[in-house]
Amino acid sequence: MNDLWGDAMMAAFQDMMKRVAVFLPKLLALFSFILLGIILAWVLKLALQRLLQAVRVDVLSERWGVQATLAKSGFKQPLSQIVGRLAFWMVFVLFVFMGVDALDLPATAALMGHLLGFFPSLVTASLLLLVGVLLGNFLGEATLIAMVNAQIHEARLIANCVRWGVFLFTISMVLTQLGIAKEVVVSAFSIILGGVVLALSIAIGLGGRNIARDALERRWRKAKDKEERDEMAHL
Amino acid sequence: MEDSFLPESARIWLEGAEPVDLVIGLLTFNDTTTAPSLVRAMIEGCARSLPQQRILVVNCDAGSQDGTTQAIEQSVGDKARLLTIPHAVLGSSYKLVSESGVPGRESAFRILATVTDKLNAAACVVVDGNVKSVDEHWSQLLVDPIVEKGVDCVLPWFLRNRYEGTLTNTLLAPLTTALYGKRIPYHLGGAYAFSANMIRSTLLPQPWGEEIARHGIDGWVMTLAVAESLQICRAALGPRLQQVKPMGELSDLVAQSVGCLFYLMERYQEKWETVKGSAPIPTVGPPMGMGAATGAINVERMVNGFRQGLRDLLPVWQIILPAETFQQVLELGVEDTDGFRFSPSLWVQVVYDFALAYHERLLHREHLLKALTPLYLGYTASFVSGTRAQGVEQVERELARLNDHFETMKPYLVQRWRWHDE
Repeated sequence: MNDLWGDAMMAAFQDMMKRVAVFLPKLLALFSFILLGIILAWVLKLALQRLLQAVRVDVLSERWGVQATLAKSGFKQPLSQIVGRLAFWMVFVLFVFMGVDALDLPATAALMGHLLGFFPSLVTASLLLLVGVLLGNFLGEATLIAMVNAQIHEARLIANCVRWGVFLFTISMVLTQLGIAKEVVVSAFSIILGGVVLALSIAIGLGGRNIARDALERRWRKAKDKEERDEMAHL
Repeated sequence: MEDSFLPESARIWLEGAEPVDLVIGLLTFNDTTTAPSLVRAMIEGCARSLPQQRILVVNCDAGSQDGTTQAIEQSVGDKARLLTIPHAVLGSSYKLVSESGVPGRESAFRILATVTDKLNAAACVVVDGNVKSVDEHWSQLLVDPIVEKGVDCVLPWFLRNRYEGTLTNTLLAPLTTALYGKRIPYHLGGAYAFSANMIRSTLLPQPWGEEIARHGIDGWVMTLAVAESLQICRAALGPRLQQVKPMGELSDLVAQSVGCLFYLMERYQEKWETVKGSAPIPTVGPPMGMGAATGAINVERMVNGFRQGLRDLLPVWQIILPAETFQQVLELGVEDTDGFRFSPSLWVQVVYDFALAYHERLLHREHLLKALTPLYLGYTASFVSGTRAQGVEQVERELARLNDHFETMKPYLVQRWRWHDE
C-alpha cells in the first residue's frame, strides 16, 4: 500500500516536474520576448523620433496646421513623438503576441494566429481613424470660420454637420477595414445618408417651401444690399 | 543671373538689346480702356522731366483677351521702345486678391526687375494698367527722387477719403510703422519706382518660389522697403481712380494682407524688435490731407458680423487670445449697436495677440488670419460710428492716436515674442 502510494506520488511529482521543465523555458521565452520587445520598441521609437525630427516633420506639421488639429483632438505632443509612441506600442504588442504564442497553450494558439492576422487591419484602421479625426476637425473649423465671415446664421450647425459627416464616414471606413459587421455598416451608412438627403428634400419641398424661399430671398437681398450699400474699400 | 522664368522671346530680345536708363513697367490684364492713355502720359511725362533718358516700356500682360497689348503698341508708336512680355499666372495666384486686378503680379515684378538689371537701367517704374488718374506728373514724381536724389524706393501716396482703406489705416500702416519705425502710407498697388540698387540688392535675391509669394507682391514690397536698409520716400500722386475695383471676400483680403505682415515679421524679427518710436519718410509732391466724403457704410452690418463672431467663433478666439484679452472682447457683446465701442488699445492688443498666435502656430495659419475678420469689423464699426459725425481732422487725430497705441504697446509684443522663442 505504502509502495503504491509512494509510486503514485513520485509519478505525479515527476510528471509535474516534467511539465514544469517543459513550461519553464516557454515562460522564459515569454519574458525574453517581452524584454526584447521593450528594448527593440524603445530603440525604434527613439530612431523614428530622431529621423522625423531630422526631416523637420514637427515644423512641417506645425506649418500645415496638423499640430493644432492634433492638439484639439487631445494629442498635445509633437507629431514625431506621437508616431514614435505608436511605433513603440505596435512593436511591443507584436512581441507580446510572439511571447504568448511561445507558451504553446492550446487555448491561445488559434487566438494568436487570429490576432496576428488582424494586426495589419488594426494598424490601417488606427491610421484611418487618426486621419479622419484630423480631417473632420480641420474641415469643421474651416467651414465655421468661412460661414461666420459670410454672416450665415447657421454657421455652427453647418460646421458641425461637416465635422460629424467626416467622422461618420471615418467610423464606417474603420469598421469596414476591421471587418466588423461589414454589410451592416455599409447598409446603415447608405440608409442614414439617403435618409438625411430624402428628409431634407421632403422638408424643403413640402414643409419648408416658404422658409426656403424666404431664406433664399433674404440671402439674395443681403448680397444685393452689400453690393449697393457698402462702398467701403478696406485696403 | 537666374532668368529661366523669362519667356524665350524675351530672353532673345534682351540678348541683343542696348542698355536703357529707365524701364517703365506696365502691368495689364484686359485694360484696353485705360492702359493706352496711361502709357502715353508716362512717356510724355518722362520726355518732359527727363529728356535725355533712354526709355524702355515693358508691358507685362497676364493674358488679356481684349487687345490690350495691341492698343499699347499703337499708343507707344515710335515714342519709345516697347517690349511686350506675356507672363505666366500660377494657379495659386488666382486666389490672391490683387489691388490692380492683375493675376500673377509677383511674376510681372520679377520679370521687370530682371529686365531692369540686364539692361543696366538706373530705375524701374511699375504702374498698374487699370489706373485712370495717371497724368504726366506721375513720371516726374516717381522717377525724379531716384535719378536726382539717390532714393531707392518711391512708394505711392494717394488722396483718399476718410474711411477709404480702413484695414490699411487701422492695422497695416500703424503696425508697419510701429515695427519698423518708418511712417509709410501703406497704399498698396497703383505705382512704385525702384532704383537699380534696390533691384539688385533686395528684389532679385527674394525667394520668389516660396510661401511669401502667396501673400501678394504689394505688401511684400512695402515691407522690404521699410525693413531693408534702403532710402525711401513717398510720392503724392493725388487720387487713384481705377477702371475696375479689386474684388474679393473681405476675409481673403485680411488673410492675405495681414498674413504678409505677420509672415515677414518672422523674417525681420532682429530688425523690428530693437526699433523704438517712428519717423515720417520724405514726401515728393504737394502735401495731401484726407478727403471728407464718407460713402455709404453699413455700420450695423459690421456690428452684426462682429456679434456673430462673438457667438460662433469663441472656441477659436479662445485658442488665439490670452484670457485677459478674451475677457475684454467678450464684454463688448453686451453693448447695443449705437453704444458699441471697441477701444483702440483693445484692438492693438488683439492684433498683437494674433501676431503672437501666428508665430506660435496655435492654429492653422489661414484659419487664424480669417478668424480676425469679425474683430476687424467690430473695431471698424466702432471707429466709423465714433467719428462719423465729426470732421476729417477728428478721423486723422483718431488714427494718430491708434498709431501711438501701436507704438506704446510694442514692448508687450517684443517680450512675448522673445519669451516664446526661448
